[in-house]
Amino acid sequence: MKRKKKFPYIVLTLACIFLLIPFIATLLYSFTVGWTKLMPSGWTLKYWGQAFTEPDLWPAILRGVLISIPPILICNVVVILALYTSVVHYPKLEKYIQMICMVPNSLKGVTIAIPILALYAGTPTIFSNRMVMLVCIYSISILPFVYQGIRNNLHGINVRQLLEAAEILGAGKLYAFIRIILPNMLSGILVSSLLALSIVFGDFAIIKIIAGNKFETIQMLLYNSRLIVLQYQCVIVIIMFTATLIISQIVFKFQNKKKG
Amino acid sequence: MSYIEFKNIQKRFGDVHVLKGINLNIEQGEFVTLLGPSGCGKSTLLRCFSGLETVSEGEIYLDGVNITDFTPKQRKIGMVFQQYSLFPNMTVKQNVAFGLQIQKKEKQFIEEKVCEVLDIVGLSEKRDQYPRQLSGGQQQRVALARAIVMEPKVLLLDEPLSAIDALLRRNLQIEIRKIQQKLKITAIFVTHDQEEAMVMSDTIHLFNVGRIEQSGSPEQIYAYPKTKFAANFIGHYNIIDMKEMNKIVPLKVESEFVAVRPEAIEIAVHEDGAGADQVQLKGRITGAMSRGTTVVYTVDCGGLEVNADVLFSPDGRMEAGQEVYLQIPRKDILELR
Repeated sequence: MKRKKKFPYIVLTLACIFLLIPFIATLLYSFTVGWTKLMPSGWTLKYWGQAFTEPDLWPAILRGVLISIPPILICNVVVILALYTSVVHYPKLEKYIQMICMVPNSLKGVTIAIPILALYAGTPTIFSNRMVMLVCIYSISILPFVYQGIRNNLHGINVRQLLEAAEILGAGKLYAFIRIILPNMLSGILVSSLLALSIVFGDFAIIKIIAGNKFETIQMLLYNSRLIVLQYQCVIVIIMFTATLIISQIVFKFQNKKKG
Repeated sequence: MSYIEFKNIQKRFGDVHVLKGINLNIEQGEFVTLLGPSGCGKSTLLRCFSGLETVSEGEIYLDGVNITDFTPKQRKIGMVFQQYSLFPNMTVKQNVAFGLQIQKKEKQFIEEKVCEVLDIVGLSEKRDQYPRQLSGGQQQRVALARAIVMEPKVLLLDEPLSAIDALLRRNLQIEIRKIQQKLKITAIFVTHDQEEAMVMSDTIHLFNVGRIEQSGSPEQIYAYPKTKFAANFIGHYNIIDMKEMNKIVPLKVESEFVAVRPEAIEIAVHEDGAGADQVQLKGRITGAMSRGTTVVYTVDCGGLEVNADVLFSPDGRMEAGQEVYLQIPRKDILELR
């Protein structure tokens, strides 16, 4: 029995070590002056100081977060409404929604970005605006992840029966959706949104193609700092990771508070 | 005019004819059970009454008003579902208060009413817990509280106990019945369990393939099944083909099949001579199955297999192969349609 209980802990510890090694190595490297064959030649906080005094760092992080919000919102609203309608009213349509939402999985962001840029750049439409273009492309890129998270969540709750129970108690369909269905979908929405955030936040290729150097996110900053020492890049990577961690922790805290 | 009237209710799902002309009257304060096997249309009728399904033809009256085209909200009914359908994001108290909040009742009134109803179902201490923190039985009691707090005209219960284990189920059957009698609510209960129907109902309507096969009190339904289906479904009746029976003992009956309750048959070890009001069959015991208080003997009477229930006695068990005489009172031989 004891052996059985120990086994999951051993596996989890090994998994944690495996996942943390790159992070710890990057963190350690960011404090080094240089590197001999086996050990660092010295320790320094110089690069951290340099990063935090870098005037472009915080605006770049903020831009990354800001550009993530509209696609996540758009995608969530579209997927929630489409899935809700199909689950409640037209269950047969769900397979088609799934097919449509899964298409971007086979098309990488870059593959979408280039033709869209060629198609809309310079046209007298709102889509020629680079920010609108970025939002649209990101919305398409994150669609499969948002769809999968929300779909799994929606199938986990018995939507039809909850709606019927609410209807019998006198609630309208919209009221029941807002007060009962949506709160129960929150965990799915949050998880898929976080996944989408990490995808957009970590993107470099699309933003480089669409916005060039006009819209510098932290990934762009990282790219532009490639000619500076490696330790400085490590600092930026650690900051990116920490920012994502903080955002996800805030979201999960909020979710747990709601659950009670 | 009855409190509830179903007039020639027909329901079709595409080509499937689920309800085939249901006519049913229910009196105020009555506890009525719609009993039948899966797919016989009992739940569909309940859903038609609740307004969650529309009828294809026919009319439904509640308290003299034609509610056929009313929305569920307009019907003022309460419903308890098989899977509880409690709102997972709300506490017990919030679940029970939900309907009253929609009616925009005053906070004080809601608070008092919720406390009162939770007291009735014995869940006052669980008011601040979430459904996931409750057992199946407790969840079902919350669902019941949520329905009765609205003071519905009719309480609908769609197989509410089928997901609950046997012991708790028996307790809840009694509890639901007590609450219904205390509040004098008219209740329509759907189940496929004939024992549950017997325990809880004033009247049972036995369903079979979209039609009502037989209606009556639990005692009537059990003691006098009118059809082969009713005899089969409601108890462990011996259904005897008269062609077989006449080969052994000629009987003057018009129907093709007769039914005999196993407990109406007496087993004698010696031939006793059948009276005018009895039929005697000679046979050999082929099996015995203990059911606690009774033992069910299977007796082969010249090719006709008959089951007879005998009260358990520690030293009176008969063995397989033993020759016996079955005595059946003529009044207990029921002709089936």
